[in-house]
Amino acid sequence: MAENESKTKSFETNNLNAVDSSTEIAKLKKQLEQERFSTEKREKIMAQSLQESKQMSAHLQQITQELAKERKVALEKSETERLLWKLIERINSSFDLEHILQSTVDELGNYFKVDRCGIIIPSYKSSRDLVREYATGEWKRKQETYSQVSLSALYRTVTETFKPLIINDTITHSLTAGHLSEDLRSILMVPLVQYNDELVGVVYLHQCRNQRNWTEHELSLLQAAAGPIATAVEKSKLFNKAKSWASREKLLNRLTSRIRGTLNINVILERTVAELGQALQASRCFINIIDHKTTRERISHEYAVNKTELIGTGKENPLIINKIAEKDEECISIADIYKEPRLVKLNNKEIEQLYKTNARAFLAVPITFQRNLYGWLCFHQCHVPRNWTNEEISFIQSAASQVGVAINQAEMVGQLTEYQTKLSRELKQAAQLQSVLLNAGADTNKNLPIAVSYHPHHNVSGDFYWISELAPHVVAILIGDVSGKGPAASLLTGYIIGEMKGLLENQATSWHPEKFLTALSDSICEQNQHSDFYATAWYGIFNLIEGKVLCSNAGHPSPCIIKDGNVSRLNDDPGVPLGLFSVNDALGNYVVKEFKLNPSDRMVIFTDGLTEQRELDGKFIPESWLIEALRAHKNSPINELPEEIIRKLNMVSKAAPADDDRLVVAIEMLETKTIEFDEDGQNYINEKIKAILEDAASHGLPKNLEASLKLGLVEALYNSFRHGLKKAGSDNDSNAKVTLSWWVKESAISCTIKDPGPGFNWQTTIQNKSKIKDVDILSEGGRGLPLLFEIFSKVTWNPKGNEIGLTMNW
Amino acid sequence: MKLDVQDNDDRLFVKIGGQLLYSEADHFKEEVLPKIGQHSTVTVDCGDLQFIDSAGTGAIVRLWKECRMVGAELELIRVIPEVQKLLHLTRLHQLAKVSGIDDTA
Repeated sequence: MAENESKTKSFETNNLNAVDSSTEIAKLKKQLEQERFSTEKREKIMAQSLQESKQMSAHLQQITQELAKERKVALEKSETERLLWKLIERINSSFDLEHILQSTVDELGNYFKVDRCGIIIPSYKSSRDLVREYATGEWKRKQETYSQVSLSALYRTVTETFKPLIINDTITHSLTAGHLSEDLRSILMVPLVQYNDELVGVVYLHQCRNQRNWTEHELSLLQAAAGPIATAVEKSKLFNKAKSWASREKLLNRLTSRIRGTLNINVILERTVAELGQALQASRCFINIIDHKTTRERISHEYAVNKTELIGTGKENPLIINKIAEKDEECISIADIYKEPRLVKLNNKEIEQLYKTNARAFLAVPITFQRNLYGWLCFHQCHVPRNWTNEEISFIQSAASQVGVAINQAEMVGQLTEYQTKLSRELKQAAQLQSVLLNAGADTNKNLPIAVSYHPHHNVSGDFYWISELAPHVVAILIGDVSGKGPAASLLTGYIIGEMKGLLENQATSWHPEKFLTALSDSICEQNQHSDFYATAWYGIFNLIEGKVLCSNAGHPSPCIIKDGNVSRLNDDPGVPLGLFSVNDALGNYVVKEFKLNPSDRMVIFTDGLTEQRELDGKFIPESWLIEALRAHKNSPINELPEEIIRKLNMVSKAAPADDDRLVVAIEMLETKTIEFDEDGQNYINEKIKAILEDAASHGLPKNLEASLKLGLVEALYNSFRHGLKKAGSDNDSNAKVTLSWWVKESAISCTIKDPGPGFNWQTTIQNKSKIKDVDILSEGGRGLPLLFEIFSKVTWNPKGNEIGLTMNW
Repeated sequence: MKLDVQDNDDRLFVKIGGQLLYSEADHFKEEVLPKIGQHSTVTVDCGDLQFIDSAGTGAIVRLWKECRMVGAELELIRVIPEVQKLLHLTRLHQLAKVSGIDDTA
């Protein structure tokens, strides 16, 4: 436009200089007029254009301003978003809330360029606040100081109102004026609120020394940041909750499996209080056990964290807080004893006792099992209050329930142990009694080589045996087995022994096996009306001189007989077991069998513990093992044979535990020699005795015992001549004879001298004359019997008293 | 049993051999007891006595009783150990003076 103006001025000057005429002037004027008009028009247009340009410029300026404003908003938004993204990224990258909070306060502090930035999460774990603070230079504070922020009035204002607190100048603000000791000028505090409007804490900014006006943008930015922080806290709390739930579940499982795995109640409870105390991060955990007899409570087990004083295991400790609880309350919890209204129910002494424990928070959960209250599982939180959460209480109730099971289990085990001890003691006494009962019949020192091996399965046994000399050369053996085992079987055994003794003393039964068993069965049957016990038995009478055995069998395993090296089962025709039938039942009668036995023949009598033994895999061992074992041990000494058999059984059963009592009785027949003396026998008595002495000497009779043996035989023989033969002679029995039989076994000689006389009451006679020192020194007679007792190790008679048995051991 | 009874002034000397058993006891008493008389000492030489039983000891007791009645002293000499053992067992050594076969040798 400036270029066009200069061109116009140049034209006007040229026209004025070159034209003088009027026409020219008019022309020029007209031209000028036209030019002026044109110029005016142009100017008008230009003015209009200028106006438009100005309008355009203003509009442009407006647009530019708007754009700038938009750009600023966008920039601010982007900054906020960037900050928020940063925070969100941090939150997502970790579950460690403390770490997240620290980096957040650092980030925010730097961003806002403040002197301090902090976050407070109250009661984050138990009663402890989580506080993290960023501070610059001189404004850094000790953790102990800023940890107390939650106690400040500003904090309470925010947490109560849920609204931000904006203090641009603390000097003038009503909340802070005159209250702040430090040079803190501006505060911005925003609540951290979860999605469910639950307050989780606060975030604050501090500007120190220099006053600062917080902008809307800063406020909104801090509020925006509060969202992710609250989320992080919530996430962390959920994570910790899950973690804690998992760990408590694990602890409960451990507790349960420990209870199942051990019966040691002390170990269970000691570990339980320690682990529960640690899991709940309580200051103390202990178990108050109630003594049911005295209803007193004492601490059975206790755990306390470091520096917390133990109340004292074993100490009497009544649960005072129980008094403030309502009846049938599931648990007693006190969050803060200083604020507990129910304490009015306690007297001063009780409150003082509670204070003494230094506990602020209390939790007591009853330990019950099947409605029995055993005690309380108690927790103390010392010095600080604590809100026991429902989850915690529920967890402790589960644990208390397990503890109840454990205590009940322990009580039951205790009762069982006591019962077992008592039973064991009684069984031992029963066994001793049984042993005493059986002892008299267990003496194998008879005129017959007998060896016994007896292995009871229990303390008290159902197997029994009895050996009795009916006459010097006649030995009766009873072996039996009562059905069942243990005390009941033992009692029946005792009863049988009592009955058996009576039957053995009665010659009408003792000399007749079939009558003996019938009478015994009848007696048991009579007493056994209301039970299902029975017994098997074998009764045999061994006559050494006649070389035979008379026997009857009442459902008992038939003995084995070893003749000339051949082993077989005795065909003794077993009858029904004892106690099933009485004499009135035809079935209850037994048959008597007679078997000839030669010198060296053996008989092995046993109970079913030998023939009904199982191997380890549960299969019964075939009975043939016994025959084979006896065959293999046919040359074993008789006194070793029973144990050899038991040893063999252990081998064939592959050391399987015994299924039953094991009883083996082995007998060996001896070779006997007999001399008969008639009326003239006294004339050759020396000669015959000499032969006996030679026989004994050939079997090892020591020289110094020869005179004693001779004296004994002389005394016994003259007694028979004097009292038996003379009497028979006077009765005109010309065939009357005195019979002397003897047999020599290892380290012993035994003999019987039988006369045809009426016998004598030896039981009464020997009561006063069994000791030579008791004989009157001035008496001319009466030394014969005492001398026999002095010389022989055993002197016996038959019941009639006309047969004497003498045994000398060396 | 062998029995020899000799009367030497105030001493009755009885020598016994073999065995003094029930069957010989009566014979011993019949032979010896009537001869005790007024002797102050009755000596039984048991050097050859090989054996004695309770009836034999009974005969000795009877002999001691007879001696005591007349105030005589009974002594059993040269008693062999086996017999001596029985005499001790029956405490007859408390009645009569008993000496062993070795003591008199």
